[in-house]
Amino acid sequence: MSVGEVKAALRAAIEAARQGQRVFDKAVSEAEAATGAANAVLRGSHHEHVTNTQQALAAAKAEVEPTRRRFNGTAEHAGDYLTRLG
Amino acid sequence: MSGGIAELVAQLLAVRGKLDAAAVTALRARADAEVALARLTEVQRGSSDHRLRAAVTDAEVARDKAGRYARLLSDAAGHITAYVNTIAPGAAPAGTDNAASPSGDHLVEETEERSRKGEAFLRRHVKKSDDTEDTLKQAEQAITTGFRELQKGLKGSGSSGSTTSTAADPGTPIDRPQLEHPVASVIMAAGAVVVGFRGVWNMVKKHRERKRSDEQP
Repeated sequence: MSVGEVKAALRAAIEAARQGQRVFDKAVSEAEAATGAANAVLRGSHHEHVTNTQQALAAAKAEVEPTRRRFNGTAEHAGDYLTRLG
Repeated sequence: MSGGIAELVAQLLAVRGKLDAAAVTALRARADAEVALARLTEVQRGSSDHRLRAAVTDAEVARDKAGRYARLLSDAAGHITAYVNTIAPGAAPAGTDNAASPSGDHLVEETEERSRKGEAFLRRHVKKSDDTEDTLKQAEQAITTGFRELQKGLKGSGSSGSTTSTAADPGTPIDRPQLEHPVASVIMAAGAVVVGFRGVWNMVKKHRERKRSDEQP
């Protein structure tokens, strides 16, 4: 791989990571809207399926920030390396 | 069904549809992470730079976490389906949820067979059908009306579905022209959404495994 090819691959990786970040944020807003609606509809129920639904949604929510950090980290670290190559 | 229950069921089905749509969007993010990872891995051959290593690790984790996020949303949608069927038995038939019909699973398997570019396929086509519930409904209609046509198209375009992977030379992507067929592509995209998350997930996963084994030196 030539230096030019390496740089092009790094730029493509950075762009993909940034795009992934945007798309992931879109997934999160869609999921948050759905979660709000779910909580409103299911409020007060202690049915097993309702509890399972809420647990899955809570587990999903817990993944949001760590996932964002990793998308961002991918672009940042690749960017740092690209800068080092000059 | 009384009016109250009917309304509740309608609301729950709407929520389920939204969760499934969000799961598909999360899968698109996962595919982006996979692309980033592939490019970084190319670059990494011949370098041991710590920044690059950190980028690779982050891309791997981003991919896995976006996938996990999608799966959890899909799980939640599945639990809602189960709940709906508890309060109003039969009200949530196999549709946009995990309980894909056998024919739907079969459709996905056929798609897998024919798509060595599974993620590119997702990125190009699922994108078109994931935005709103309306689109999802259109997709459902498309799959209902288009399913036969698709089956006809698939059968007419090559080997029968029962063949196991014919040792295709990776250098000659003979599958691609079939995928590019506009009608088949659109209906398959609709199928991917209607069949639900599990099929799409399997498709992506199999593609990844295939890709990994292709990349081993």
